[in-house]
Amino acid sequence: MGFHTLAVDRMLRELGAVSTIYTAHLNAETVDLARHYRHHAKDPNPDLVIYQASIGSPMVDYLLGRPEPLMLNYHNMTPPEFFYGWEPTLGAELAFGRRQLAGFCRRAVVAVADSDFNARELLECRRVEVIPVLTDDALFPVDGSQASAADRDDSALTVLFVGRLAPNKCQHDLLAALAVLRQQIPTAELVLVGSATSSRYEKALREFAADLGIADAVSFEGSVPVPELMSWYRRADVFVCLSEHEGFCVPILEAMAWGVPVVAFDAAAVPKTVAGAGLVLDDKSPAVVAAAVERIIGDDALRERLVQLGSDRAEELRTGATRPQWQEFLADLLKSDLLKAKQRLR
Amino acid sequence: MQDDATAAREYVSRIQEEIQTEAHQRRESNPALVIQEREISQAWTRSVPGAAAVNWDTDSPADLKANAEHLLGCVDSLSLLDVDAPVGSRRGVRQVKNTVRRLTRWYLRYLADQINAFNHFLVNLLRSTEQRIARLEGGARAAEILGGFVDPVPEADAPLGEAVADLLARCDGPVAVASCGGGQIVSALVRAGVAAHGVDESAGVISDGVDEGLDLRVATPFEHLDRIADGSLAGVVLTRSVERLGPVELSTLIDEALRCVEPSGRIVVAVADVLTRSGPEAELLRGVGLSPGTWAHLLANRGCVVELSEFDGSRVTTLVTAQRQ
Repeated sequence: MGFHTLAVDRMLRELGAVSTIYTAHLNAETVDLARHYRHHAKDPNPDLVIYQASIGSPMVDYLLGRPEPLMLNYHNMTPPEFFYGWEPTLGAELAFGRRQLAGFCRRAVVAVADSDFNARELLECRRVEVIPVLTDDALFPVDGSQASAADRDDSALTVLFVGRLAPNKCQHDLLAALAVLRQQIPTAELVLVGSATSSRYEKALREFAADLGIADAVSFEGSVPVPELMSWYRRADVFVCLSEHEGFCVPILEAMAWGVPVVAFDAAAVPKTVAGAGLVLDDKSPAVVAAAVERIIGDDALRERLVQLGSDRAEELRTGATRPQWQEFLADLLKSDLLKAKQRLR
Repeated sequence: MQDDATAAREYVSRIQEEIQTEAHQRRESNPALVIQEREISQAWTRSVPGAAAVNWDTDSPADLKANAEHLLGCVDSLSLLDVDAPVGSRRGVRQVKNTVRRLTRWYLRYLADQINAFNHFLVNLLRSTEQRIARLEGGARAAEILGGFVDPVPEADAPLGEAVADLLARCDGPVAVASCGGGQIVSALVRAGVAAHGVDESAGVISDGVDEGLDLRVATPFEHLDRIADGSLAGVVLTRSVERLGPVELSTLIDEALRCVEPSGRIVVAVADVLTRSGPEAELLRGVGLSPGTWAHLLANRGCVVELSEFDGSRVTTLVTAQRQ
């Protein structure tokens, strides 16, 4: 269960609403935070149901059969094409999710997308708001805790990417770039933080790294606790994102907040998230990415500018700034006529 | 403050462009980088599902064919079925539909997985096909790749420019110079009163000529001629990079040049004689380029009246002039 969902739940309670989180999959992490959705029908009827869409789910069919007004909260759904070659079942579930999404949009009284890019996928909704995602303040540095030269390992160049190991995140392109980069900077290493969405993809990445002779220079960290993640941000020399599909990409924001210069590939919502505060490349061939990293490392003036721009951008989008937008939106929604739609349906 | 941010973003934007140029220049000056990038791409292809089962470097053509047929067999053995039909939310039939859907999904889940597998294998098959085509193309382009290890063809010098201009001085229509380099030939033609322009695939090479006011454009000879209407040029000059083309490309280029020139138009070929090559150039560029005599033969066979003229140059020693009939 993501931070954003928990934050919205907390905000609703602060506004005086009674809020309950339901999920289709309870596990050890969520059992104390949420109820299984089959209990929903027995609980008191709510005035509003907010659905956080991420993949095909039986909950959608259930909700479409309910009389309550529906709101969609959308942070994007990875296009299934990325997974068909790797995890066919997951690909099918994503395709199913997208079909459900179209039906849900037609019923929802309002939808919130966290980027213009995502909003464009909700054209069938009668009303779509764009409000950035609520991010975890715990992951952002407090004043003075940003990375400094002392935190970085001078003996090695650390390239960082944070995100699930998934075909759409294109970690294989990062490996390819590292192989070329190491021709110029033999101490360059790549740190990949994030659990694997596709075990096949992870296996292929490890084979690829071995094939390129850079296995020792690549670190697969998996999912790490928050303090460890913060430590990686402090140690990183550059954050490189070569994803071909991102609905927003919060780690870019986190890296900026931690004073790590960002290099990213021009795809999906990434350029909007970066907003000129990092290097956005329209070509991610290994030579180009390696040249970008080398430029940042070798050009102090550029590095300083990117750090400053990134810091400003992160401050603009971090929860502190986004929170009032969400509060205002939810407060207006709770008072609006949209919630009377329930009576009309009944 | 706002101005500072705008200036900083413009600065970043400029750096992005510089990085792209830097990478391009690195590839041009270091053929090993191009080879490394290609090898990396091939290594990744070997790691992806399906292709991982096939060793494209060592398997024999028969093995590759057998592997492709194996994948085809997999496709044939699988089927396509969608069990996740949308369920309407009309109240009366909702529960019935949901029950039917749940039962159907439970019963047909196995088939749904087969659909996914079908897609999976289909994608792999296409990848395999692509790989095989790439191998064929790679073989055909061997000379081009090896050509990266020899010095580039030098620029035309002023005497060569003047000699070509003499041959085309009477042209009263536009003349295109393919692989014009810095524009020596174009410059000489312009001085002779000919409406000449040049194309070269390297923006860096033509920049000085452009600064001098010559009409030089970035394009390969093929790209440029492809955009030109039939019979709309009075002449075409083929020089420099045409020395590094294989027979198929040369044949295409000749046909394109003939298509573009008017009925009495002229084609001038100013290239070094491949028969005089020696050392690494002779070995690495084997099968690439033509001697003036062979150019004359090919052009004559396409119905042109051909003349060979001697030229006292350090590399180019014979000029071929073909007039379309």
